[in-house]
Amino acid sequence: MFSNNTKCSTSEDDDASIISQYAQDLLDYSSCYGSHGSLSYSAVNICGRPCKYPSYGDFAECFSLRHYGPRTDNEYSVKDIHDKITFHDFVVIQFENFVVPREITIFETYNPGAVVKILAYMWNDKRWEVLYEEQPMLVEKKSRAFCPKLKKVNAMTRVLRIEFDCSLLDYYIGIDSVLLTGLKPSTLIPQPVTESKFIMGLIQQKLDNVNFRPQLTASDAIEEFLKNDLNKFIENVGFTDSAVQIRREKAISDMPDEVIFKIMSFLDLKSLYNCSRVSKKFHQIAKDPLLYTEVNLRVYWYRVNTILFSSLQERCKLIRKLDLSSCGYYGSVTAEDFIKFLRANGRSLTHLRLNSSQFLNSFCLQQIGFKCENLIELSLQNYANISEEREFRPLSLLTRLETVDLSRSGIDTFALVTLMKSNKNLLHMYLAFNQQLSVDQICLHISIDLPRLRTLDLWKCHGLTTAGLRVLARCENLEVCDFGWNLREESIITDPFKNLIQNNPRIRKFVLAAVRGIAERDLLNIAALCTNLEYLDLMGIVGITSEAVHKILQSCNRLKVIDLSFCENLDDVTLFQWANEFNVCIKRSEVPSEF
Amino acid sequence: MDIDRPSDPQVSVVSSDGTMFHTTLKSILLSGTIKDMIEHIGEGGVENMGAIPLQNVDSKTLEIVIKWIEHHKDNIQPTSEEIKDKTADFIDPWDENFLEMDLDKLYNLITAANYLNIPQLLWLSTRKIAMLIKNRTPQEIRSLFNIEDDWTPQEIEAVQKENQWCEEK
Repeated sequence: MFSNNTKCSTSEDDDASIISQYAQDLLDYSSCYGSHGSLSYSAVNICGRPCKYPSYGDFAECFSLRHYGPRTDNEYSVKDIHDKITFHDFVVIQFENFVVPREITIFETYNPGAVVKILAYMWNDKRWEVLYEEQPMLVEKKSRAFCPKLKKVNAMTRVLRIEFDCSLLDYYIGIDSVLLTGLKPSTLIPQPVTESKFIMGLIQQKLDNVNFRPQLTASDAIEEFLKNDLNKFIENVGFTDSAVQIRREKAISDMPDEVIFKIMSFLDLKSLYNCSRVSKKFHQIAKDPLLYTEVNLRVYWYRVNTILFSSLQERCKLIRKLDLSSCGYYGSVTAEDFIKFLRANGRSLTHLRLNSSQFLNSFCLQQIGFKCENLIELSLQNYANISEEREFRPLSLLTRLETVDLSRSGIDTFALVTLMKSNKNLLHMYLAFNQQLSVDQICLHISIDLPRLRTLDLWKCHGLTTAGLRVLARCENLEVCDFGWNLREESIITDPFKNLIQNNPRIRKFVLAAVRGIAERDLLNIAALCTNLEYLDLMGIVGITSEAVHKILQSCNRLKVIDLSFCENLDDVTLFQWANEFNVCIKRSEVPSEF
Repeated sequence: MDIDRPSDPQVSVVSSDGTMFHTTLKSILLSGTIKDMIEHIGEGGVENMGAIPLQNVDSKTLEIVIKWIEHHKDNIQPTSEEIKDKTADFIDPWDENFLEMDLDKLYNLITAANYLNIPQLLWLSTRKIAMLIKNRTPQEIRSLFNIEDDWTPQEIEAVQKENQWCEEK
C-alpha cells in the first residue's frame, strides 16, 4: 500500500542499507483527546502500523488532540511569537532502530494540515535538529500520507518530535501512524569538506564586504550565481577592492544609547543575543533587564541549555512573564538551573508557564512556592507525564493566583484544596485529565472558597457526580464550564443542573460532551436560561431530540458553535437545514459508512 | 493645506544649515520639543514669534520630518506611554512607503525624531532599523551598520559561549 511513499529518492542509498519503521513508543505528548487508561483517541495510537489509512474520518483508533481552531490563550512576549512558526501541541515518539533520517511519512486520517515542525534528536551531537518547518496548511479534507521534504542531515536518530498548529482546522485532527525511513548508521560515510563549499566561503566573505546579500534562498541558484556571474556583477556595479571601504557619515553606534535601546526593544530573544555579540556597546545595551520583562523560551525549547539559562539570569532581573514549556529534554536544562534562576529572579515573576518542562520536580515546585510570591498565573500542564513523585503542597504558599492550569499535572485532592484555600481570588482553574481527584470534594471547596471563579475545566476528570453539581450550583460567576466525560454514572441530573445554570447566567462556553445524564428537560432548561451561551458541546449525548436542540438554536441568540457529533437521534438532513436557518457553526464528525 | 486659516497659523523653522521651512502650527505641534517651546512663549505670541531655530536638524532631514508631520497633523498621536506597549502593530502603508530611504537618511531621521520628541515617528523609524537587524548574524549586523568589532579575543570567548544557542548549525 505504501510502496510509493517509502521509496527513497536519493541515489546515494543502496536498498539494502535502508530501514523503514513505524513508531514503537510514545515518549511524551502535550495533549490528546483520549484519557489515560483508555485507548480511544489516545496519543499512543500514533505508534505502530496504520490501522485506518487510507480511510478518512473520525476514528477512535487514531491519535487526536483535544483542541482545534485558533488559540485563545495569550502568549508571553509577542515579539518572540510574531512571524515564527509556533506549535500548539506535540508528540515525541521513539523508533526501534537508529537511522540517518531520509523520509518521514505521517498518515493523517482526519483534518490534515496541522503538522508544522518535525525535529529529530541527534544521538551523537546530543541536540535536536529541525528536519521540517512550515506554516500550517489548509488542505483538502481527505486522508493523506504526508511526506514533507526534509532537511538533509548525516547523523542518526530514533526519536522524533512532531509539532502541530491546529489553528486553521475546524475540527479535531486524526493521526494514524508515522513511518520513519533512513539509512542504517553503519553505512554512514563522513562527508569531506568539498572544494566548492570552501570557495563559497571566500566568496561569501567578499559579498559581505561589499554589503551585498543575494536574495535567493535556494542554495543551488546561489552557487550557480557565485560560480559564474559574481565577478561580472562586481565589475558592473563598479566595486573595486578600494571601493569596499564605503564609510557612512554616521554609524548606528553614534546614536544615543536610549535610541539603540528603543531599536532593541522591538527584537526577539535570538536577535537580542545576536546584537550582544556585535560590539561592546551593543552588548551593554542588549543586556538591559528592561528588554527581558517577558521571556518566552517555549519558542526556542530545543536550543535552550544551561549556558543560555544562566546568562539569562543576569538579564532577567525585572522579569515578569516566563514560559519554559517543553524545555529540558535529555538534561539540557536541569532542576538546579531553574531553582538558581528562581532564587535570583523569582520574586518579580507574575506569570510562569512550565507545560511539559522536562526538568520539573518537587524541588522546583517547592521553590516556586517559596520564591514566587507575586505569581498570578501558573501553568503546570502534563507534569504527571514527567515525574512519578509529585509534591504539590508548597504551592499553597502562593496567595495571589488568579489563573492556574493543572491539566494532567497529577495534583492530589488535598494539595489542590489547600491551594484553593490560600488563593481565594482564583478566576480560572484548569484541571483536565486529573482522574485521581475527588471532584465532588473539589467542587464543595470551590463553592466555599472561590466565589469569583469564572472558568472551571474538569474535562475527563470523570469524578463529578450530582453531589458535586449540587454544591457547584452555589457559584454565581461561572462563564466557562467544561464537564466533558463527567457525570457518567448519573441517570438524572435535572435539578442540580437547573440550579447551576440559573445561578450562573454568564455561562458562555459549556462542554457537556458524553455527559450521560443530560436529557430533554436539561436542554430545554439551557434554552430557557443560558442566554449568553456562545459554545455548546453535546458530543455523544444519545437520547436528545431535534426539538430540544432546535429550541436552543432558537433561543440562544449568541450561540456561535454547537457540537452535535455522535448525537444519534439527529439526522444529517436536519443539521443541514439548521446550518442554513441559523448563523451557527454546527460541528459533526465524519464517520465513514462502514460504521 | 489650510495654512491660511487662523486656526492653523503658519510657523517657520530654520535648519542647522540655515534653510528656512514653512509649515503649520498644527503640524509642528506633533513635536513635543517645539510644543514645550511654544507653550513657554504662550499661544498669543505664535504669530509674532519668528522662525524657530533647530540647531540639531539639517535641511535634508528637516524636509523629511516636515513631510511626515504635515501628513499626520490631523491624526491623533499616541503618547510615549501608549507606544511602549506596541509591538507588531499594523503599519500604515503610507508610513511604510515613507520610510523607504537609505540608512544614512534613516539615522538622521531617528536622531531628529528623538531630538524633536515625535514619539510615533521615532517608533516607526527605530522599528524600521530593528526589522533590518532581525534574523541577521552578528557579522551581518556589523557590516550592514558599519560597526567595528571591538572585542578582544579573550573577551569574545565568553560572549561566544553565551551565544552558542542561537547559531544555526
